Amino acid sequence: MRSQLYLLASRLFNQPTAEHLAVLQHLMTELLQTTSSEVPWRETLIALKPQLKYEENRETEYSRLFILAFPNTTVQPFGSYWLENDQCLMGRSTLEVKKMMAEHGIEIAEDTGLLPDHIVSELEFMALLASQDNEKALQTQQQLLEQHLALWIPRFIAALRAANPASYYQLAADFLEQLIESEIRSIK
Amino acid sequence: MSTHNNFDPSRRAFLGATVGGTALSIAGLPSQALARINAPHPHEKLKETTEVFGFCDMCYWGCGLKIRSRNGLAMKIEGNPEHPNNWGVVCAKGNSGIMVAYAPNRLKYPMKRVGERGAGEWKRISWDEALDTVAKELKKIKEKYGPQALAMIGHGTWEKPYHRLAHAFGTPNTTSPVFGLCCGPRGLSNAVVTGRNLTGNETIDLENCKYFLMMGRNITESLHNGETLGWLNGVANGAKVVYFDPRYTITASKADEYYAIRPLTDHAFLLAMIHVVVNEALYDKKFVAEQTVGFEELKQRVQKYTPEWAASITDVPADIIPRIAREMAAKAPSVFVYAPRRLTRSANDLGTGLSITILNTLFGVWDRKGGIFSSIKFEVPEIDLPKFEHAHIAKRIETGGDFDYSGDVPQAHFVDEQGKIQRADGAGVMGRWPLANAQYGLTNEMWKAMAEQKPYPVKMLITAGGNGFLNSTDYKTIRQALMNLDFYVAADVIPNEMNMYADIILPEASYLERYDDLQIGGGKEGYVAVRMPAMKPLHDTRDAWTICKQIADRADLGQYFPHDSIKELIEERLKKAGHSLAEIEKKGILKVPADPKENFRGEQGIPSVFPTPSGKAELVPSILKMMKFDDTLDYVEQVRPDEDEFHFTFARIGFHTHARTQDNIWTAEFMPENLLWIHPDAANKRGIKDGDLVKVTVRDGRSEQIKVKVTLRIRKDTVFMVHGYGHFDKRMTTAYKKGASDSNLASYAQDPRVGSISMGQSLVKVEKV
Repeated sequence: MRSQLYLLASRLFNQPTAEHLAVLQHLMTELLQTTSSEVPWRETLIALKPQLKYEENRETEYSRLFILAFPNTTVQPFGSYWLENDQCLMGRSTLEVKKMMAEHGIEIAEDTGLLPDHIVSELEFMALLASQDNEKALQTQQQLLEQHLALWIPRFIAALRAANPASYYQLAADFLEQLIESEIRSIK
Repeated sequence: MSTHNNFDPSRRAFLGATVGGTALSIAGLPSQALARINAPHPHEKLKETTEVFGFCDMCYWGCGLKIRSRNGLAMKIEGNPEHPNNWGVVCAKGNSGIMVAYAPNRLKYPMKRVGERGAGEWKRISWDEALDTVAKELKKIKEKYGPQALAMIGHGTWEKPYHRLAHAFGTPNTTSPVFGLCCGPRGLSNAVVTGRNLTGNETIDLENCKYFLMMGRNITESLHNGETLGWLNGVANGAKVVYFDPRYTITASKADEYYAIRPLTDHAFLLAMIHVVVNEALYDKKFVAEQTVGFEELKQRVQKYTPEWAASITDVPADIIPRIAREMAAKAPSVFVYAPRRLTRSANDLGTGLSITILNTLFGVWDRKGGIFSSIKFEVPEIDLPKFEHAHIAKRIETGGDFDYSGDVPQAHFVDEQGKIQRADGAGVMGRWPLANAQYGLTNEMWKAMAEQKPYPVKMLITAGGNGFLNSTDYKTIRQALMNLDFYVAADVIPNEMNMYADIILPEASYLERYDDLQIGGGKEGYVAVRMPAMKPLHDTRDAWTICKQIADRADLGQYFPHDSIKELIEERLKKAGHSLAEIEKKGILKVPADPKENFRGEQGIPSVFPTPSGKAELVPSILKMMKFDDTLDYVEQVRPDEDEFHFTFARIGFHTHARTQDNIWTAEFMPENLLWIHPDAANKRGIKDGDLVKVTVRDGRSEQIKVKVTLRIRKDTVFMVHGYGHFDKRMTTAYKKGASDSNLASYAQDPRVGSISMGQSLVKVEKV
């Protein structure tokens, strides 16, 4: 289940193409069927579900928020932007994530245009690790969560909210926040 | 540990990457980001450093680079010790090149405009969609208006393929700011007097020069490594430096003598110098008699320009002029009158440039030790291509920094043998700007042609780098031009004010992530240098050549891009020259050794080659006489500020290039914002204190706000700011709203004979905000 939740989060922050949204719908249905009514994000998911229809406007909103914002500043979806002193991409923190991936025999697929610490990559990596039942995968999850996601995702979410996003991304931000907070609690 | 392992992204040296069939699935769904590493991952290799070679794109001098990469990422830029443009030295800009690749603000994916033009609403699209759209629009434009309705403006060491694409399409309208906005009148001066090129990587024997008369050539701040090094060596070898500038620059501080000349009046001082040199017979008599024409006419023309006359105009004391002339004559021919790098300032830039060339020629410096040498070229043939259809495409040379005036240029500029459409900017066109270089064009006039849609419609624009707003002047014209277009495609690495208006943005790989066409240059030794990728392109970016080929293929112009990759193209070029890529990649450069006999023909008593109509250096150029432009030799009154006004000046600084490096996180650290230099007396008069915010207003009403630096290092009638600041694109998060834009204050008057812009003619008022 954790794996699906991370996958959902990862997909929510990739470009909302028709293809991605189809996958999101499928995931959402599955998650809503299986999650208990007590999980903190259930209401968020219920609110999000009707929005999982393709709209060109949403791709524009995605581009505005995460790629080439004007007149607002881009909400940079890269861990290193938030974690490095000089906001430099591909910094030490990126290389750490890259190394973690390599240790699990994983790398960023060619032609995706993604960096290892792009939000989509890190969340999908968490999803992969969560789907594996071994000690090493558990350790890496803990490391990625504590040393990366927990440090930059809250700042990223704050910047995203400040950019006055469309409701789809408000809900995506809520979901991501709820998921990461819950993960941090459970690790502690 | 480091190796000369040539990193080749296509070989996937480190990254096993996805191979068919290893696609990942997570919880039953296909992966979107991750792939299984195919080969065992060579962890032990992660600490190795690979070295590749390249040449710099941070300015246009083209220093040779050695780039160290670790783990497939460029980590450190060093100089290539073999490269004659810098001999292993890299400046602050060069070092900061790393941050071009890793900048968070980089253009990362192809984007399509979805809102109003210039409003900044975009949608990320695939490369296929972007390239298909560009090709479709090209066809549409050709059908509707003809191929000449396409303009291409390039500004970078990677712009060459875009010129080819535009030429293949059939338009003559390709341009780079280098002529009309920068060096044009200077290059032209040497061309019309001697038929020779002396710009780009200048062929000055700096080390052996004994006397530098520097007309605002601020070589320590507007610096190029090889040139600055050569000059420093010349100074260390005992050269005297006499420096003229309204501002006490770092170069002034290194000079033996400094004169705070009145802005825009260099021409008057230089004419008086010529006056003294010819009247006191201080010139090289043998050289002038044997290798020049027009001496007597020149002598007559400069009689009225006495040192006393010049003193009244320039504020340079009359008595120093004959002294400097005599001192130079005593050291000639190892002397050099150094023109400013950018000579687009006054009401007569061509005349200023000419007087510099004439003085150098009178001192007989051509092909002499300590003067100007003849370069040696490394011959690397171009690939064979089908002929370009259009008649008016001047031959482009390889370095991206030179003017090619060899052969019958510039005469050929104003000949229209086939009756085909001339350039829209009028460069090289009789009746418009016949003297302007038709190869680089007049970028200022091209903007105007688009803004006014005259002399014919120019409805599509491709830009390769550059920034029309902050690199030139006159925002209104640039904005109008951009709004008039049917379609605008911008290829670049960073976002800026100009590409904000694009309909399609094509994100370029940085110069650290790609092969490019060869860099071919000539100094005392000839060389060809290679740019190799130090890492794979980040994000979803591609190199210029690949982009142009992929557009050409879609626009039925594939025959002009017959290779599969730029790497294959340079391999073929090197093979044609009897070399190979593997050979050049060992040191990044191949050279033909210097040959003193060829470099310094004059030292062996061999006459210089001057490809002019007379075959000699023409002290009163026949081309100018033929065109009735020889009145440019005479002094023209310059604008003077009223009591409450200032001359407005701007210039480069050592760690910024034009308007393209202010958003670089590393270079910005040196100087986050520019300041307005103002003399203490002028400041006091206005109640302005150091650090105050002031408003600078041009006579035409344009204005900017900026903080003040009160300093004795500037004339009382002049203010100054460093160029390239005052960005108004919010996407440039480091540079946004930092300092003021000189471009929005500079004049857009033109040199009346060349057509180049005369930016120094703005007069401004300064008031406390």
